[in-house]
Amino acid sequence: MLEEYRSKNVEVYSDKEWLEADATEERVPEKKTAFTDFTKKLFRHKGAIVGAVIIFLFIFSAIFAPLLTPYDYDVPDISSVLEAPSGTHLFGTDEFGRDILTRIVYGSRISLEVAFIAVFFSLILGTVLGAIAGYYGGVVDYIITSITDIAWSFPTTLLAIAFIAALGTGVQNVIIAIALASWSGYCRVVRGQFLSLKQREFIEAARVLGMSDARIIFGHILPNALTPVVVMATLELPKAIVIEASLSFLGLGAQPPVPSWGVILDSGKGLLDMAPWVSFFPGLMIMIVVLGFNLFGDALQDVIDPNSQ
Amino acid sequence: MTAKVLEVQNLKKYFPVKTNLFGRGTEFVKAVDGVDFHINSGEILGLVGESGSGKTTTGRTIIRLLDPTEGEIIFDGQDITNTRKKDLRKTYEQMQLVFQDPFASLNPRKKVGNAIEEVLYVHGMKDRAQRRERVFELFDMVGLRGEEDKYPHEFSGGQRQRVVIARALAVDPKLIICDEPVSALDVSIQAQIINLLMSLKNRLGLSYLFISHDLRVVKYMSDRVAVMYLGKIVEIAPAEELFKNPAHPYSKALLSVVSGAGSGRKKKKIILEGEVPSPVDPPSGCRFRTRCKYATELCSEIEPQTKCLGDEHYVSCHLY
Repeated sequence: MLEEYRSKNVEVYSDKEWLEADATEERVPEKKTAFTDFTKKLFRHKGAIVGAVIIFLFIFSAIFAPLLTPYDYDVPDISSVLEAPSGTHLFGTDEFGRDILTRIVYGSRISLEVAFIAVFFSLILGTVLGAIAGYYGGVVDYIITSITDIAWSFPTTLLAIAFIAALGTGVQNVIIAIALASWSGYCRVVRGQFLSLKQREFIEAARVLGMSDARIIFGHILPNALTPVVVMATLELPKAIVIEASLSFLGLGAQPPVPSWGVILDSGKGLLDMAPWVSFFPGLMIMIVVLGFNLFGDALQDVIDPNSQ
Repeated sequence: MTAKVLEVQNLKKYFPVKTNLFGRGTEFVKAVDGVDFHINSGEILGLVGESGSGKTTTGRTIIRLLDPTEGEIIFDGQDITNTRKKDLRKTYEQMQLVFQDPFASLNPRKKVGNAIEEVLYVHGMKDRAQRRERVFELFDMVGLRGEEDKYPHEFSGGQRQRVVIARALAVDPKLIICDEPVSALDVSIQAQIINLLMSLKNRLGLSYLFISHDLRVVKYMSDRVAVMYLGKIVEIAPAEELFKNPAHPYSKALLSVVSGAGSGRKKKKIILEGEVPSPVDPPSGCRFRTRCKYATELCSEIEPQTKCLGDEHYVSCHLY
């Protein structure tokens, strides 16, 4: 019976061609790992190189601060008050005779700590909320989206100041404030990713294969949703550095004698006509580091998603 | 008489298109509107129809990716219509789904072997060596021996579909719902996958619900064929019988365009006029009457009942 049909049901291809096609081999896509392709593109990107070098120097100086300078960052030296930049003090000294370069090098530790920890926690918070909202939808989504929209509508710095007002000053509270003020962006991005990914067939397949919600969310959707989150995090790092410096400059963050860049900037603002170097160098450092992170983040975005420019 | 592995009674799936203030639907797309059929153990039931006829929705509702609006789904003697999502895992050990697009149905970040190992783990195979062995066995079965440690993007479409089939087989199911498993593949590759599905069916005693719009494929594979139009099954008959003597005017038109179908003589192609009516507001009476050249007044007033033309050949049309 089947034989009879086999001989009659072929349109374009003859029976032989269609049913015995095993001989034809399908072309298998060329083996190329996505990772090497990615690094190659990144290394060809000028912005990425410049950014990476700046970030490397920044992290390097933060880690090896004591080895890089002969001075202490918090020991006053009456003999060298407000000295202009010279061979002994490259960036000059402040009103207590402390070496500015030393304070900036130690200050990078605070910027680094605040930026990475705050971004890490806001990323976790935003990602988890966004994942729940996007996956479950309905009332849960409505509530989370409403909170996110409210948080999103405030400027991050203003929101951070509000949290500092509630929590009090200090480096630790700055971290908490920045984390609480900047999670909404991740939440929106992750929610959007989940909304589109959960419709994909491989997620439906996971459901039909009897996997639990937690396994689907964390094992299957999240790994596919993280790319834009990583890009976003690299662009959030410089923002966190600026907010920390701003809060410290306003006296709401790190308190003197902690050598935060914002604190050094603040200490020099009354001396601008006598000793401009006290404020100039920390300001320059903030600018260069932020530029480095932004260049790298933009490059990352270009390389990962060339359509999003 | 052979046992029924799946029985579907009066299955309906409506999607709301307009909702009122309280989020309740006021207008619906009647994607599946009262479908009855059964699949015997070891049988392949073909489900054909043009795009928008509700074949895919039928498949997805049966496997409970979508919740049915009305009706009953009896799988292996158990009513699974209202089983809670949590308790469906047992059902999914018996019933699986093969998707249309093999490029979308594999997780791009998981090695295919590990993806299948995860399925085995979830279904209670906790011993790693045992899982590994089963994965080798499954890959061997679908003709991909030694390809376990590759990512989906390293495979061609046909190979991916083999992986998807291996994944469906991992839980040792009785029934596999194949949702257009070959329509995304090159014609030369289609036959390989079809032959694989056929040999697996014979080897493992599987049953398939084979959803497709490709009549040639359906004719080759199916034991019985159901023809769907606008959310309803208009005709269901053994494949041989249907392709030789289609009864419903829609089946006739559908089959006439497959050249060489039926007997050898040249038959005139029946070209249908007009568009498929909107499933939001289907025609009264018989749904096909707007495009049917035999339509009478009766057709617009009374919905035709299903009649038996003998030998498991059922048709819903006033002509009989």
